[in-house]
Formats: sequence, structure tokens, C-alpha cells
Amino acid sequence: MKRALLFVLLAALAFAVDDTTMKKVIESGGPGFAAAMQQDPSEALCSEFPQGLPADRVGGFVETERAKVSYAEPLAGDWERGREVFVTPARGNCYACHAGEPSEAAFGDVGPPLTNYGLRGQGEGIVKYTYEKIYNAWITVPCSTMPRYGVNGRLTAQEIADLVAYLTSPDSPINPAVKGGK
Amino acid sequence: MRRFFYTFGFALLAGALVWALSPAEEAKRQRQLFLEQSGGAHPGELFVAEGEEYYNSLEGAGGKTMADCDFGKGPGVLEGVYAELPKYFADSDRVEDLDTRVVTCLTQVLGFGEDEFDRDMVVALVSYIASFSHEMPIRVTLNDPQEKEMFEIGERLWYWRAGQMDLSCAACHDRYPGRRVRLAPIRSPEQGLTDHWPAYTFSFDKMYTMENRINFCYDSIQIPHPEFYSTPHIALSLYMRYRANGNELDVPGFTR
Repeated sequence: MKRALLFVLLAALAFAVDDTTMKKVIESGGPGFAAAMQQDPSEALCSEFPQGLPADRVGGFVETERAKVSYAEPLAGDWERGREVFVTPARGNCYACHAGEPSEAAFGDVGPPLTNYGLRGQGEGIVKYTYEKIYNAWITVPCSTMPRYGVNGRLTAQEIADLVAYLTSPDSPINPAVKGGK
Repeated sequence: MRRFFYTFGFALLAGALVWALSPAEEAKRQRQLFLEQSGGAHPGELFVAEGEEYYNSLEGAGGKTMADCDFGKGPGVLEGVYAELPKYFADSDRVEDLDTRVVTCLTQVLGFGEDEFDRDMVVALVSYIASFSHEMPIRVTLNDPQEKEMFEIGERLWYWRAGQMDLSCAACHDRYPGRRVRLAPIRSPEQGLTDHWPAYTFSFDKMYTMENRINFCYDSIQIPHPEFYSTPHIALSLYMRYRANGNELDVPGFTR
């Protein structure tokens, strides 16, 4: 029985496509494709374990990802500018996956709804959490489907701070249920 | 006022989508809606007809015609070939999808040069040949070692997270089938992600093959798509189609 298991394991190893082959395959897609398909070590790890990282890899992974965050000053910017980032497809494109303002019906449901996100509060803790979540979603949920907007340079630190304001400010139209803050 | 109508229209559309049941049913419903809007005619049939014309009229070196090409069941046989693709072909000694097989036919059998055919011609021919597998179950096998390796390459590409969005095919199509990106339903291969390609796409007014569909996916996750007829296309098609084995093909499809 043990031997059979070992055989299956060895067979799986022997048949798995190696990195050299993958490199060739990806290069055959052309230079633009090949350049974009380059992975950082964390992306490679998430690809290797699509069902979730093994427990003993999580600590190191989170530590690596945390070191990639750089912070804007202050962490919450301008909610009106944040709103533009949120709705613009070439920038945040947040409606692709999240519900937002109640008047916007064309939203995706891959991520949790962000309507009335401000009910979570406006304190330092939630502001920092929100900033880090957008800058690098893989700190809180390793290999989350949510892109690492700051790490990958998809959004600037300022754009992320503006998004934080849009999500948390009591004045923001995404927070109709939040009255007068606090 | 105009804004009101837009908002109202979107609300109706979104409501209808949220209300819908399974992604497959949702796709069926959208297709029905589009068909009604286009007067009941399937624009994909025009591309099939164009492909038929090419198929019957193209002539290559030494009087060779398309009927001399083997798409998997012998020269001249089109019935059901698409349901078994991609697969290994001994003459080219590689695994091919229908797109590359049409190119192999044009260049190797008819002897055409690269400038004697274009993408539109290939798409029309793919549409025509695929239409002979309409309503047939997908039957992709991994009997040849090259097919097996191609499947494994496809599997690794499927899970390959990269690009500015850190995404892979699996990050949406395996983790969130049944949900929506904006208003577009996400489907897994088992749920019919590939069953209706090649398809007439309503929003672009174009006929697109499975290779176009893969390109669209990469482009939308900010990874410049692989070049047509390259290995990533063949590998991903084989991987997805293998997972969809038994599903009924609906080709040419009709989608947004």
C-alpha cells in the first residue's frame, strides 16, 4: 500500500511539467505575453497551491508581503478623488467585483459588498486596515483573488489613500447609512 | 431624465441577472434575448456560410483542396471532428486546436504562403468546420503522451497568477463560478465556459474562436494576450475542453 502510494507520488512528479518547459511555452506566446507572465515568488507560490497555502508557508508569505507596503501621508485622502478611482475601469475598476453606491446596479459579486463600508468606523485602526487591504490584499488573505493594487503599481499610494477616504468618510455617497460619522 | 432611464435600464438588467438561476441558464437567456433583438437570425450562420465558400473554393498547389485536409477523422471528414479537438496529429507531430489545424491545412496541404490567407479566413473556416459538431458531446482524450503533456501545460497556465492584477484563469473561473464580474456571469469549464465557441459576439459584431476568447480573458486581466496559434492557446483549450468532456457543443455560439 505504501509502495503504491509512493509510486503514484513519483509518477506525479515525473509527469509534472517542469519550469523550463513552461518558460518555453510562455515565450512562444510572444514577448508581451512572456514579459507579463513573469511571476514574483509570491505569485508563483499562489499558483502552486491554488487551494490555499500550506500552514507552514503562511507566516513567511505574510511577512514578505507586509514588507512591500509603503504608506501615504495621511492614510485617508480625498473621497471625491477616491470616487473617481473607484468607478474608473482603467484605475480601481472596483465595481467589477464589489457593490458600492446603492444607485449603481451594474456591479460584480466576486468580492463582498462595500456599501456602507463606513459603518465599520473611521478610527485609525480601520483606516490603516483599509489602506493595507487595497495596497496589498495578500497580507490579510494570502493569495486572495483581489489584486495587490499598490504592490503592482496599478494604483499610487495617493490613489489608495483617496479610496480609503471614499470608503470610510461619512460624507461619501457609498455611506448613506452613516450619519455624521463616529 | 436621460440619466434616469440609463439607471433604470441598468437596474432592470441587473435585477434580471441577479434573479437568474444557473450561469448556463443565464447564458441561454441572454442568447435568446440577443436573438430576438437581431430578428431571430443567427449572425454566426453568415460566417459559417463564408467558411463554406472558402472550404469549397480554395485551391492550392497541385490542385489540392480543403477536402484533402485531415481534421482528425480522415481527409474530407468534418462531421464531429471539432468535438475531439485539440488532439495530436501525426503529420505535424504536435497537438493542434482547430485554429492551428486550419492553418496547417492552408500552409502544408494547400501550400499557401503566410500572406495568402488572413485571420478572417481562418475564423470563417473554423466556424464552418465546427458547425459540423453542433449539439455533439465534447470528447477530448489524453491518450497520446503529447496530449498528456499539453494538458499539464494547460493546467499550469490555468493556475498561473501573474500581471498587474495577480490573476489567473482559476482565480475567477474555479473560485467564483456562478458569480458575476460587473454583469458578466462567470462560468467554470464544467458549466460551459467553452461549449459555445466559436461564437458570434454581439457587442463586437464579430465571429470569435476559442483562441479569441482566451485572448479576451488575458487582456481583461492586463496580460497582453499570447499570439494566435501559439502553444498557450492549444494547451488551455485542451485543458478546459477536457474538463468539459460530455458537455454538448453549441456552435456557432451566440454571446455578448
